[in-house]
Amino acid sequence: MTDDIQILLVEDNPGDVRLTQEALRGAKVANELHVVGDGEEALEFLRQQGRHADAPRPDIVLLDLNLPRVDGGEVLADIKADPDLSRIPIIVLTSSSAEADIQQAYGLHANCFISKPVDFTEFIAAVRSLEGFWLKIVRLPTK
Amino acid sequence: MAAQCPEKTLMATAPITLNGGRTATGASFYDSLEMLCNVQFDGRVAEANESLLQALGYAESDLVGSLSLDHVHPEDQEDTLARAAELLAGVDIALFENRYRCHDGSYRWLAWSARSEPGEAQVHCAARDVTESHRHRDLVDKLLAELERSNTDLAQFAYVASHDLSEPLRMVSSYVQLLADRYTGQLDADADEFIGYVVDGVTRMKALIDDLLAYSRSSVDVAVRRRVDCGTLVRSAVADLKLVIGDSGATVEVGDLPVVDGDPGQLSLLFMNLLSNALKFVAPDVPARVRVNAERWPDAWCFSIADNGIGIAAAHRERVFLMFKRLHGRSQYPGTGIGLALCQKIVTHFGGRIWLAEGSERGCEFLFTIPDLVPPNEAVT
Repeated sequence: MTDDIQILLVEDNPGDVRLTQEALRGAKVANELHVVGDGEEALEFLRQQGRHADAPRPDIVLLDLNLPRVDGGEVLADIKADPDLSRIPIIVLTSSSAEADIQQAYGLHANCFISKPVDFTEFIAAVRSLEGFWLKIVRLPTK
Repeated sequence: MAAQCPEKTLMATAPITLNGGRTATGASFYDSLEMLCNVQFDGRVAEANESLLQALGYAESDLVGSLSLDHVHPEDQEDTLARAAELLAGVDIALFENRYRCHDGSYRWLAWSARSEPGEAQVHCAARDVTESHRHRDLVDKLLAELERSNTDLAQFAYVASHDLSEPLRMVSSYVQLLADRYTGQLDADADEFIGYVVDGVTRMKALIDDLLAYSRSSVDVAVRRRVDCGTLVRSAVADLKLVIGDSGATVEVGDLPVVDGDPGQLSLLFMNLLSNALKFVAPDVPARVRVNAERWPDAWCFSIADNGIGIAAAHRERVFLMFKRLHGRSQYPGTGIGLALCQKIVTHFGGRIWLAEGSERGCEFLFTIPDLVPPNEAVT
């Protein structure tokens, strides 16, 4: 295992996956981005089950809310209710800006909530500032 | 007293009689055009006049001697009984409405007044047929409920549609921007031009969706009216427009503006739209000069926002408030055509009116009113 920051991106839209990859490409912090497409697989990855038995433990999770099968809210609730996983910072990254979604996410102990900006330049800036804050400034719990 | 109303004293002691009682009770009761009846304290109809019988289609023998309550619509029986109890306790009834069954089984709405005289064992009732006005009221209620529902649906639809539209738009705009950033100048001139058009189209669509969202949100969010200092509001709107004003030499004069009852978010959207219009539609080589003022009306404040710009021809004066209505080419003056429609909606929401002053051919003057809030306890219903 390397010392790279392990990021788990839970996102079902390939277009958004690629945008996040593009945005992280120029990141200053060495990182490894893992991508899963639905909530069920996200929980398997985090619990190192099934095809993700060898998955590394993510340092941080970028979570979309609108997901097939198990939706983002349930994933968030499961993670925060699991003593093994609850310390992993969860960044909700969603196209929603609905007040109800924001309330729900923080109610379930999301570490922060970000609405994906429509403008690509702003999207890049948002991902960069995530990187700057969560990967450089914040001290994350050691595994 | 007995002399003043002879029929009542007679009726008090009269047994239930059919046609035979007619001469004894006097002509006025039977011949009255008003629907009249007398009901004994035990609830049985003692007498009913011709008007009542005719209106309900009964023969005298159908009604007289029967329990009055048996003819009342089942849903109205409880209320009717309660009022009957009041009558027995000596309280007159000025107006009470219930549905009364006709001979053919249909019901008519009757408005009753009733009273009893001391010493009598019956009540004197008079009725008016109010079925038609009930029918109108029901129809109006139904139409209003339908209108409200369809308005809510529409607002909800506009909100969801514009919200869901922004999601695929985000994909298109992001990737075309990536294309432009990474490949401009590497393909041929045609490709650069095409990408340019896509970027331009996407930018316009984004502005449209943002404006539509703002428009639909202004009806989804119920405005809570509270005290708003319009002076502060306008000065901060002008500060936000510094970027637009820039080096253009434009000036905005803000007069004394009042504190009104409104919603700060909606009012600032209103001023922002009107101010940015005033600063946008400027005549060539003439720096914009905008004046914001307010005048006290008997029951409202009337605001004016005047500019020295290109003005609006009288023929277009009404049309400018229509959704998506634009009077200029996009390259000349950009915009979505939603701004003034939104302004009108906000003003209407507060019970006010917005219009364009006469003589707005040379420079525009927009006027709008924000009526005073009538305290709920003084409101006329």
